[in-house]
Amino acid sequence: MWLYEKKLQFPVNIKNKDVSLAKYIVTQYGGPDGELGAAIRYLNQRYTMPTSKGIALLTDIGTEELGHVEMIQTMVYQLLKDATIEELKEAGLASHYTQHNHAIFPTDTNGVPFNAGGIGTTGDPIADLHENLAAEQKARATYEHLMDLTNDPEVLAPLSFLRQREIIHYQRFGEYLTELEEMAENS
Amino acid sequence: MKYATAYIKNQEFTGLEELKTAFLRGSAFNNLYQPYKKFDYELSSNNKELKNIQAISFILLDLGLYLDTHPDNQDVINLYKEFLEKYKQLVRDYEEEKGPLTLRSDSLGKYPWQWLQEPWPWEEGE
Repeated sequence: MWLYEKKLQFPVNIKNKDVSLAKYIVTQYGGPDGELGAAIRYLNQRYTMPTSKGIALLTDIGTEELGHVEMIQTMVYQLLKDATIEELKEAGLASHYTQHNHAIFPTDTNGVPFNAGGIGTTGDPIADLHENLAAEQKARATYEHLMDLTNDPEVLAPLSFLRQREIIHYQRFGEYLTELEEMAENS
Repeated sequence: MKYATAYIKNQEFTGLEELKTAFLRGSAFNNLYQPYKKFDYELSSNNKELKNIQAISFILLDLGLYLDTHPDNQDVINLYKEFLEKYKQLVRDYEEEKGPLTLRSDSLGKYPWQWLQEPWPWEEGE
C-alpha cells in the first residue's frame, strides 16, 4: 500500500519554459531508461527475491522511483506549460500537441509511448540484480547527457540530484548482489 | 571520463554529510558522492519550512536504504531514530500551520476538508 505525500522529493521550480528541453527530459518519464520503467521493474521483481533484505531494498528503491516519476512529470509540465503553438512546432512537438495538447505523456524523446518491454524481470535474482545495475548506469548516463543540454540552474539542480540517486541505488543493488553470490557459493 | 565498475565494494559508514549539502547533492554520504558538473546550484523553492522537511525526509530515505543492506549497524540505527524524531516534530508544526502533507494528518479533522488546500507540489516548485 502507498500513502501520498503532498510534496516533491526535491524542489522543482522551473520559471523559464524550454520546449525542446521538455522533449528531451520526457525520456526519463516514459523512455527505456526512465523512472516509470524503473519503478515498475523494482516493484515487479521484489516478489521473486529470495531474502527479506532484497525485498525491502526493491520495495524502497521502487517507491523512491515513483517519487522520481513525479519530479520528471513536474519538470516536463513546467517546461511545456506556457508554450505557444509556434514554439511547439519549432521544437518538433506539434505531434505531441495533436494528441495531448499541453498535457504530459510518458514517451521517449522521439514521442514513442512507454513500453513495458524494458521492464527486465526473469525470476532469477542474480540476473535481475544485474539488470538493475545496468539500468541505474544507463539512467545515470542519460542524466549526464541531459545536463550537457542545458545551462539553466533550475533544471540542473534536480537533474543532478536524480543522477546521484542512480549512483546510490547502484551501490545498494551491488551490495545485495555480492551477498547473494556469497550465499550461492556457500550453499 | 569515469566508467562504471563491474563490481561493487561494500560501503563503510564514515559519517553523514551536513544536512543541506547532503540534500542538494542527493547523497547522505560523502564517500558515495560523485559529482558530474561543478556544483553550485541552489534550491529553487521559497518554502523554507517544507525544504527542511524534504531534507530530513531525504536523509531518512537514504539511511533507510543503507540499513536495508547493513541492518546490523547500530550507529546508523541511532541516527535514523534521531532524524525520525526531528521529522515528526517538523511535520506536526508544518501541518498545523500550512495544511496536511498526507491523509494521516491531524489537520484533516478541521472544516472544510483541508486536503484540497493549494498549492499542489508541481504548482509552486514545492
